[in-house]
Amino acid sequence: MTVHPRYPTVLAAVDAAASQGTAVHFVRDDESVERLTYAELRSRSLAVAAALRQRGVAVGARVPVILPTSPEFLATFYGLMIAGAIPCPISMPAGFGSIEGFAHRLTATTRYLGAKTIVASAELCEPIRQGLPGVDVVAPTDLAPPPGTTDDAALRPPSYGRIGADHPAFIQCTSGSTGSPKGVVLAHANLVANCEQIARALTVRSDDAMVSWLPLNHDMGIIGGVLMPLYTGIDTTLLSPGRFQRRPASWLRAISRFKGAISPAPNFAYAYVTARAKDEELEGVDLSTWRHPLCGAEPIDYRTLHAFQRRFEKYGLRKNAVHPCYGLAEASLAVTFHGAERPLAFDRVKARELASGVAVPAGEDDAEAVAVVNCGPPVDGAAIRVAGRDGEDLAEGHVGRIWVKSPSVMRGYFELPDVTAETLRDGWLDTGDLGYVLGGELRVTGRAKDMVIIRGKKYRPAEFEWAAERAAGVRPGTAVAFGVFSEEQGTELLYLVCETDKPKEEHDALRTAVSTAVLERTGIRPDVVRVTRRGAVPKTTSGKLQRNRTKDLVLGGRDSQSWRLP
Amino acid sequence: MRCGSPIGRRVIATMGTRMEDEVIRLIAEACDVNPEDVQRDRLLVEYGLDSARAMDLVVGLEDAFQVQISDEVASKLRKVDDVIRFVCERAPR
Repeated sequence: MTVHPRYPTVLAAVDAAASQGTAVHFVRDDESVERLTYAELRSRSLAVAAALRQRGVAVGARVPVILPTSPEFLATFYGLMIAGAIPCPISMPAGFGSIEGFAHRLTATTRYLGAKTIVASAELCEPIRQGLPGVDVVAPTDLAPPPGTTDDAALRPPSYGRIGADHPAFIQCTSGSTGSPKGVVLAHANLVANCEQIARALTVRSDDAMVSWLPLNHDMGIIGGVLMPLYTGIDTTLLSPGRFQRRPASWLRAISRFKGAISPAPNFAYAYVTARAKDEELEGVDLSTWRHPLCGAEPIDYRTLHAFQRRFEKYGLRKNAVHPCYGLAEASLAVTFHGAERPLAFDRVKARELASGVAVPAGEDDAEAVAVVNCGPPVDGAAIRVAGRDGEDLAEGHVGRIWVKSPSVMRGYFELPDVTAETLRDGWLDTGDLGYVLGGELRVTGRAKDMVIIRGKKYRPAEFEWAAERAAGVRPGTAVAFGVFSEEQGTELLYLVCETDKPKEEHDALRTAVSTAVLERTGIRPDVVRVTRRGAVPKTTSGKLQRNRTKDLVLGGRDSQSWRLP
Repeated sequence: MRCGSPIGRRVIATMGTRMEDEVIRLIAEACDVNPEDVQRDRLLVEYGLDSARAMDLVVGLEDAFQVQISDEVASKLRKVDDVIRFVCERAPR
């Protein structure tokens, strides 16, 4: 079924939303609320657009945006779009002492994007300027409109009418410490198509409300939490990711207070809130309005969702509330949804057969059976196919690479034609994920591309390996990083393995040094560091690291002569 | 009142020490290490303070000293001493 978006661009959606009485609510850390109607938001965005143009920001200019969840973020984001420029939301520095690593990554990203202007929170402007001489680094307070122009129509730039469906709307960046950032270019047409697809899949009604604490540099946060509500003209309530992490109960309190019907989150968040929200923080909380607790962005563990369901039913959470979904930034956000009010479904399949590529139902008494969550059928206008090693279509129940075709699929990676050509073929997107289809519904079982997903965020293993090798004593080119799913954490743990020539009595100190080096440069502390002797990390004959084989060796406990862990 | 303001040197020294001890205790608790092992001139990452543990520390500091620590502020606090100084400067007395 094809989709016909109701608006051609996000800008047209901004105009439509402005004519309604709905609003964005920002919940501050003290739980006070700032309400901004879409009409007010449009006025502020137009003012920012005018100020940006005055500073020389041209149509097509890429502008990194480094702001916390706030009215300023949204006014800057839409302001850049109105000016025809391309906002590139970048994650805020996270963690104590993270500013240096952050500045390093930002420098690489800014060069890659060819950005001449950056909008950042006032606290960050100075450290950013130091690393990027010649780039105009501005705080939102510097973006006042030209004096005397307060009328929305007068603030509209001359280029406004030329911003069409094919114009790039924003770039979703992954920044890398190894200096190889990648930017997913999404056109207006991609975004409005995905918003329409999501709205249909969730049967969004005009009195529904969204609640989201997800970071706005993440596809689920910006498209799910912000753009889809704008597109459908419904209220949205935004909390900062930090607020959720510090007080996870504040997520549920916001859903209760603003009668949230839709609120998405990665698997880890459901585990986190189940474990950490205290009953005394939830007095009077009513979750009965929450029709769509969506779960996606990382591997889904049915046990996590069952535990969440059981824990919060006494707060009015509907039966069978949580539904899994599948998507990725390269397809804007959503590709499949497991429909609302269907019980959470998963296949119990035989482990060995699954590993060899076929989903075979396991018997009741099979203790090694694997549970694979059903992520549902594709959204309207999208198609999925599962392909084998040579690109051939596989039958249902056979595991292969998941390809996606949808009007929401990106234009490509910014200025990376080779990577784009590898990823987009004949209108199909290679997701890099592995899975199978049964009854037209998708199951995700793993990934073909090396990737670690921690708390819903994707990382390339090379980032961690590069960082680990900064520790003195690690043999160059031997660090291997991979993720291992943890039921307790609800997300992947980071494992690092590396070789050293140091004597055994120094291995403890080296493990600490590796851990510190990785934490300092990436903000992630490895959960497990293994140090081993020269020649133990498996490589191909051409000397390439074999991450999957290393992972098998570490986890499988297989006896291997060349593999002796300390 | 700031740690360095010249009012009753002994009183301030005592309060400062108490505050410093409490900050160190909270850092040790968040990083799951012994308070005696936490040294003022060391980097927080050396104690394994990642972003998840940092959240526990922020909550601990905010509750104990009624200070607000945003992500931007935290990103500039690298050493144990930076945190102590920040809290001493900002905490209401």
